Amino acid sequence: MQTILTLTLAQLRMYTRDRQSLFLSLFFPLMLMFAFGFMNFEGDGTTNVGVILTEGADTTVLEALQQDPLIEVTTGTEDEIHAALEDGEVILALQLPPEAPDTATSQPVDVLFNVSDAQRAFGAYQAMTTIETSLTRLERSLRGTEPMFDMQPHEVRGRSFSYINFLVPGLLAFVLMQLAITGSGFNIVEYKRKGILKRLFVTPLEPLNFISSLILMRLITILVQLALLLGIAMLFFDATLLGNPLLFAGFIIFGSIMFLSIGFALGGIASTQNAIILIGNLVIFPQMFLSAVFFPIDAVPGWLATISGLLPLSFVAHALREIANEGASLAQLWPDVIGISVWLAIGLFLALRYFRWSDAARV
Amino acid sequence: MAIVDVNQLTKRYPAPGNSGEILTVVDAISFSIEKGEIFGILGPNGAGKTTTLEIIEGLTRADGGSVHVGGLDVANDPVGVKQRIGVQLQESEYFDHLNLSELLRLFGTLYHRSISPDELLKLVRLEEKASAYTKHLSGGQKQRFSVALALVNDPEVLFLDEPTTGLDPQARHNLWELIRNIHARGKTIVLTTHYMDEAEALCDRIAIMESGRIIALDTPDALIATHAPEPPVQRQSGTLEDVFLVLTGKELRE
Repeated sequence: MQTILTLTLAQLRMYTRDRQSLFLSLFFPLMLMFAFGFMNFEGDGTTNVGVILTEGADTTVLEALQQDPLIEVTTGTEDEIHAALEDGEVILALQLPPEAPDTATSQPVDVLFNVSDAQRAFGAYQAMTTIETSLTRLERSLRGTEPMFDMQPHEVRGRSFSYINFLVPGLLAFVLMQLAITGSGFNIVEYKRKGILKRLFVTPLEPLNFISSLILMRLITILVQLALLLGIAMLFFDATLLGNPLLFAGFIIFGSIMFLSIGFALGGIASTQNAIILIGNLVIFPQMFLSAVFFPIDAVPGWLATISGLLPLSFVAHALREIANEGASLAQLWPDVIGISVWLAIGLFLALRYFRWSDAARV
Repeated sequence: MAIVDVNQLTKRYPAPGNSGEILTVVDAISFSIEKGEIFGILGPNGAGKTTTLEIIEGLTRADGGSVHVGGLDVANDPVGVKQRIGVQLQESEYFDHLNLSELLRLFGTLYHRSISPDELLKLVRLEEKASAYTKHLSGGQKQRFSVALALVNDPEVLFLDEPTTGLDPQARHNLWELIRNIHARGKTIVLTTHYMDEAEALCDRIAIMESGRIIALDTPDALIATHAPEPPVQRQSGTLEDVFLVLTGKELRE
C-alpha cells in the first residue's frame, strides 16, 4: 500500500510538472465549452420580416404584424427591402395590399423571398407560417369570429432546458474518455519504449501495484479536472447538476476505469508511439461524433443510432446527462451500468490478453 | 563462495518473422560468479549476453536449467533475488519530470528503504545535479546516475549492461574509476562490454559467449596465454582483443 501511494504521488507530481500537457488538457474542453456555450442555437425566437412601404398602401396589416411579439418588422422602400432580403437581414419581404381590408373579399399579399440557398428558403417558409398566424388573428378580429380551437400552453418542464445542459455532461464524458485512454495506453507505450517499465521491474515492484498506482493517479486527476470544468460551466453558463453529486462522481470513476482498461488494451496491441496515436484516434473519433456528446444525433438512420447507443462513451454520456439534467437515480440507470460493465469486461480481457511489460522478445 | 550460480541455463525464442523456427538463444550454459569479483561477459551482438543477464535478474523466465543468486532460486523467488541485486540496464531512460533526488528516493521506496539521495549522488559525483532532470545530463552523467540508481538497495551483486557504450574516453575512464570504487566496497560486479580494454582493465574473470554458449572462461591473463595467436618469431603476445577475434571470428554481426 505504501508503495502504491508513493508511486501515485510521484506520478501526480510528474503530471502537474508537465505544464504543457496540463494546460492543453484543460484548454481544449474549456475552448469547446465557451465556443458552444456562447453560440445561440435557438436564436431569440423572432422572425425578421421586411415590409415595403408604397405610397397610399393600407397599413392595417403592417400594424398587426408590428404588434406580434414574434415578428420583427423592418420597413423601407422597395430597393431598401430588396437589399435587406439579399443580405439576409430579413427572411422575407411583404408587399402591402393597396386597399383597406374588406371582410367580403380576399386580398393578395405578395411575399418575396430569397431562395439562393436551401436554409434560407426553409426559414422563409417557416416565417410564412408565423405571419399567417398573425394575419389569421387579424382576420378574426376584423370578422369578429372566435377561434374554433384555443390553444392553452402549459409549462411541463419546471426549468429552462438549454443546449448547455445537453453539452456539459457530454463534454465531461468526452474529456474523461480522452484523459483515461491517453493516460493509460499512451503512457504505457512511452514507458515501454523508454525502458522505464523494464527498469521498474528489475526492482521488487509488483506489476499489480504499479497498475494500481497508475489507475489511482488517473482517477484523481480526472476527478479534479472534471470538477473544475463542471464548476466553470456552472459559474458561466448556468449548467446544472440536479442529481446526486456522489452518483455523478461514481459514474465518472466507473467510466474512467472502463476507459483505462480499454487504454491498457490498446497499449498492449500497439507497439510504437505512432501506432498508439493512430489506434487511439480510431477509438476516440467515431465516439466523439456518434455518441451524441456535443450534439444530439437525431439525424442518423435507425441502425446507426442503435450502434451509436452501444458505444462505451454513449453509456457514460447518457448516465451523466440523466443525472445532471433529470436527477436520475442509480435504479433508473441500470442499462448504462450494464453497458459500462460489459465494455469494462471487454477492455480487461483484451488488456490481459495483449498486454506485455516489455517490447517483443529480444535476442 | 559462489554468489551467482548458473546451471544448464537454456532460453529459446521464436525466430523473427513467421518462419516458425525456434532459436536457442542461451544453450545450456553453466558458470559461477564468486563473491567479490568483477565478472565480465563478452560476446558479439546476438551471442545471448543480455538474455542471460535478464534471466539472472528475474526479468525473463528460463526454458531450462536454474539460476541461484545468494542461494535463492530465481525461478521460485524472483522478488527475493531482486531485493539483493542492483541492475543498470542498457539504454534505460527515466521519468521525464522527476529530478535525480526524487528518482533515487522513489526507487528506494520500491525496495521499502528510505535512502539518502545525497550520499549516492556524491558517490557518483553528481551531487550538484540533485535537482536536475535526467534529460539535462550528459551521456557519462546519465550512466553514472544509472549506477547510483542501481545502488539504492545496497545490493550484493551489481549488474552493468554495457555501461560505457557510447561514452567518450574521459567518461569511460571516469566510469571505470567508479566501478573500481564500488568494487572496493565489497560488491560483486557483473558487466557486459564490447570493449576488450575495458574487460582487461576491470575484470577478474571473463566469460566469452558465442551463439548461446560459453566458449571460454578464465582470467584475462590466462585467456591471453591460452588463445592469443603465436607471434611469428618472438614469444607469445597480443591483447584480449586478439583473443576475442580469434575465438569468435572476424565476421561482422548485428
